[in-house]
This record gives sequence, structure tokens and C-alpha cells, in this order.
Amino acid sequence: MNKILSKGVVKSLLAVLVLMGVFYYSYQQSVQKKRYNPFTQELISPAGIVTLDDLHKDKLIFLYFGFLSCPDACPTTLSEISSIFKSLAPQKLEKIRFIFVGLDPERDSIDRMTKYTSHFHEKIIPVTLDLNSLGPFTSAFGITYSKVPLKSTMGYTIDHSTQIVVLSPDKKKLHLLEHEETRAQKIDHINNYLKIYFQL
Amino acid sequence: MKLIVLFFMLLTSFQVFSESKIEVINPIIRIPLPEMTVTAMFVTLKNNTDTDFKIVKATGDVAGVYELHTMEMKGGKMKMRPVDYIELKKRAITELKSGGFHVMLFNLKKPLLENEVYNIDLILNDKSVISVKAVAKKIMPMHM
Repeated sequence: MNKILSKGVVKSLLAVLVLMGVFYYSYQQSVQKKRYNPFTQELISPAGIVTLDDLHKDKLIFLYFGFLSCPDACPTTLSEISSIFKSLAPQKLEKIRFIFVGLDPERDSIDRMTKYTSHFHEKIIPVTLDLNSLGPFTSAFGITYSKVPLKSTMGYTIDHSTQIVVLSPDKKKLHLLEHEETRAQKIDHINNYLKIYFQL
Repeated sequence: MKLIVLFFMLLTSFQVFSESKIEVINPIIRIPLPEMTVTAMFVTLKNNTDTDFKIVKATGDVAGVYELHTMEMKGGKMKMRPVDYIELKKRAITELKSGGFHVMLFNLKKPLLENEVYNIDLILNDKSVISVKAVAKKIMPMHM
């Protein structure tokens, strides 16, 4: 009888311990999430390590997320945005930073990202960050992505959000430029924010 | 009058016979950007027959590997997937285009030159071959 009882006690004690562990883990996770600040995240750029805090001052920040084997969305967006930048007055362009965040750091080094973006507009700054930081960094801006294995020469692809995130100089998330929006609609949004924040 | 009608009927029937089974319209290979390891061929195909066909394979001599792929936008997310075939419905036009079905080219054997023509064969499910002469273009489709 005692044996059975003590077995029961041990079992419940174990259960309590496991539960405590689970709670502690999820608490730690939530603390980490709260603590995570994407603006202090170290990003590898062609000029070395930078953070969004370094980059945002007195600028509108545009963030676009993609990868170099991206056959369609990324080159289409980057070429459209380049053509928009070419049409903007220099004093407006000066207030804009466009950051292309690599979602495939396993294949796309900063050197390759730099060669790729050089084909577009000089305003487009490529950055990469390590695989572990990519999750919190993207989700901080409401961007989702996933690595999907394929029965293809590609090995895997990256499904990813196609929006461009727009951040104000005071680090507020202002807007998402949707992939489907026309060039004219995107220009309207950009001009609107330049007017609000820089009276341009 | 009857004669004229007959003449036109003859003319149109002649035209039907002279039409090719699958018409190939505006085939383009996108010249890849630096560091881009893949590229795509886009084309419009008009099935002039009363039979549904499927493209089951693509081959050619410019790339090492050819695959049939599709793109799909779902909930603001872009997804690309290989497909087993691309359907060419009878009496219909099928577009292989940016944002949809396309032929993916891997391991290009040489750099593509603008306006140069490259041969790509599309193999149908009945083993017949559509010979496509695709023109290499730098331009990017702006809207999907």
C-alpha cells in the first residue's frame, strides 16, 4: 500500500516539476520576445556591422525581405523600386533608406547580395543576419518566411511576404507597400510620408 | 452570293488546316541578374486543336536543367513550386508568365546575350514537341 502511495507521490511530483519547467521556459521565451529589439539587431552590410538605430536617423526606412534564388517577386520589386527612386527628386531621395534583408543567409553571402543589388539602385543597401536572429527580426515587422524543401535542382525555396515595410524616422511602423499595388500607388504613399515627416 | 460564301468557307477551312497545333507567341528568356543562379522562360501558347494537352518536360542546350514551375501569391506570401505538368486546354490560350507558370532554367552553360535566340523544346504528353525560339531579354516584368 505504502509502495503504491509513494509511487503516486513520485509521479505527481514529477508532473509538477515538468509543468514548472514548461512554465519557466515559456516565461523565458516571452521575456526574450519582449526584450528583443530589432533596432539594435546587428546587421551585416557592405560597410560592416550596422543596426537600424544607426540607419533610421532623419530618414524614412524601407525594409524588403528576399533571397537571390527568388525567381520573380524580388527582382520585380527591386527593379520597380529602382525605377521609382530614379523618378524622385534628389532632396526626397536623400531622406530614404532602402534595406534589402537576405532571407537565405545559408546561400546568400553579403558579397553576393552586394553584387546583386548593385544591378538595381545605389539606394538599395543589402544586409544579412545570422539564421537565429532572422526569425525575431522578421516577425518584429510582421514579415513571415519559411524554408521549404523542394523536389528541384533548387533544393529548397523560401516562401516569403512580399510587402515593403515603411518605418518613420521615429521608428514607427507606418505602412506596408503591397506587391500588387501599382507603381503610381507606391509613389503616392512615398510622397505622402515625405510630406508628413520632412515637409517635402 | 452563294459562291462568295462558299469561297470564304473554303478560305477559312484552309486556314484552320494551315494553323499549327500549338501556336507559340512571344517567347522570352529573362537574362539573369548577377549572382542569380536561375532564370525563367515565358511564352504564350495557343492550343488550336480540340484536344487538351499537357507540357510534361522542357529541354534545350542552353541550360543544364529545365523544370516546370508555378508561382502563387497566398496571403501576401509568394510561393514557388515545381509542377509535374502545365495544362494546355483545347481552343484556349495558356500564358507562361511572371507570377504564374514558367519554365525554370538552372545551370546556364553560357551567359545569355540580349536579343539572341535560344531553342527550348517543350515536350507534350503525346510525345510531340513544341519548338520554342526564345529571345533573351533584360527587361523585367513590372506587374504581375
